[in-house]
Amino acid sequence: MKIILKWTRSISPAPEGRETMRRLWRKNERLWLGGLTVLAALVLWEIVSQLEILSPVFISSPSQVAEKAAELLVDKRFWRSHVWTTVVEFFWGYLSSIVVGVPLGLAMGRYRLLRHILDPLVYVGNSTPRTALLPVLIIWFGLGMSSKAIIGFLGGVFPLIVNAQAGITNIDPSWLRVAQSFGAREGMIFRQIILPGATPFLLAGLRLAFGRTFTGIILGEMYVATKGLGHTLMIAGAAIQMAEVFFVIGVIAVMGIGSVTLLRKFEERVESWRGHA
Amino acid sequence: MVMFGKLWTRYQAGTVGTLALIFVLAIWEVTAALKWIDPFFISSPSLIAPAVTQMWASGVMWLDLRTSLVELTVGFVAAALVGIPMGLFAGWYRRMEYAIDPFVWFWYTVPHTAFYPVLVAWFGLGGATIIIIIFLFTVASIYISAYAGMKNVDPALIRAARSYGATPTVIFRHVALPASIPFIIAGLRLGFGRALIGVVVGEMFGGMAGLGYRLHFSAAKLKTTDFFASIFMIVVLGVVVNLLLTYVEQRFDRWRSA
Repeated sequence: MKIILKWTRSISPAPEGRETMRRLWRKNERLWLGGLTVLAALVLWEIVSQLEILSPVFISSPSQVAEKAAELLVDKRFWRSHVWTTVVEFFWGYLSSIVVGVPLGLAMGRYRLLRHILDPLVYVGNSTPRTALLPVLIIWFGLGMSSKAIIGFLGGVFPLIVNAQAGITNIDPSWLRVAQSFGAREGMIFRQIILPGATPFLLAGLRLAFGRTFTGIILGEMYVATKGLGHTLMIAGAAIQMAEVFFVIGVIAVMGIGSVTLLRKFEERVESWRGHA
Repeated sequence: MVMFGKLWTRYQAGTVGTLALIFVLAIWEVTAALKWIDPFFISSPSLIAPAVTQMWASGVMWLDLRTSLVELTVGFVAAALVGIPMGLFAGWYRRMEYAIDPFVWFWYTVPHTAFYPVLVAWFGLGGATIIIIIFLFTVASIYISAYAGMKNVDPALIRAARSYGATPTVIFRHVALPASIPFIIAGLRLGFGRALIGVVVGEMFGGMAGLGYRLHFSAAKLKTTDFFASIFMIVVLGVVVNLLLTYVEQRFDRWRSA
């Protein structure tokens, strides 16, 4: 015991070094603690799998997943058939939900009658679990990519409508009055006041819609599909190829995290003009 | 005449909204009746309404509803029992928040359905898996709401309590906890929406009974009428529970502001 203590003391940093370490720790505590727990979880996973406390067939292990990853990341077919399919479906679903949802929401915010007409329909659409519509959408639009894109569209369009509408209704009416008293016309009011004022809500809507669209696409692919990441997931799961399953989950996670980061960067750029209150 | 004008402005939203819904139903009915789109694909309100009554009468609907409700309740309660304490403690102890943050973040970003194959491989098809799916869908929302509730406790209240010599435990139990309750209730309401999606997804993919299963089953047999009848029940369930939880939320809010 004494030998170990002596050894640790000989390799531990000098007092100044210890101070720097303590400061580094305190500043980045979030990263350290978070990283440590993740590392601990991974190590535990590997140990449980190696020692066969739980069958490695069912839980796989970080090393097996890494192996599978190396194998699949260079597989052209994986990229071309599956990843690309998911990306394309997502692109069309997201784009169409923006193109339809944002103008509709803005119009609903602006024109009261339209809002009153469409509100209950939006409410029903929002509260129906999209997943419940999956089977009938497959019947209507077939097995191909279009049914998945439509599920994505349905997922994204409602948050966008609701948020665009909220963006309009939450604009300070005094701004509008000031603009009108200066003689601004409708078009200018829209461009210079309404649009910038609504952007926080629009951005929140874009973020929400992104998550919902993505989830919808993956779900659709898992339910019935011939290509795509969700489809790969189901096939691998059915064959109990857990390493592949975890790898695909990892790919999906990376896609999600990457896009969230991109969205946030975009958000910062758009909102950079806005000072902090 | 002026009287009518006043009535109109008060009830404009309600009337126009209801009219719009009726209008959509009418278009649906007409489209099916005139066969502009084959009613095989879209069914029609006149077919769906009797189908709903028939499914209730035969007891099928009640069985499905009961199965789904049981799964929902177990999963939801479990998620609340886990999510609320975790959220409150993560909000109170910053160390704990930092430690579980990456997992929460990962969980929130990845579509939960992606874990479905893993769950089936581990727990098989059937009720237990569905309950676990509901749990996984719901727990993140509840955790985040409880966490937000704890983080948003008015620091002035805490300072006041401390100046009276209260220990951290006392502050936690008598100041922070009650202050977090509105957030928790709101989180429960949101969580229920996710739980509903969870039960539908779980039953669609691997259930043997329940509303989601009925949905999938009808569609697989191309019985669009039964399918829409099931959707109708699911929507009604969602709206009813949502209204219930909103009512509870408002009751709690009244206690709080008083």
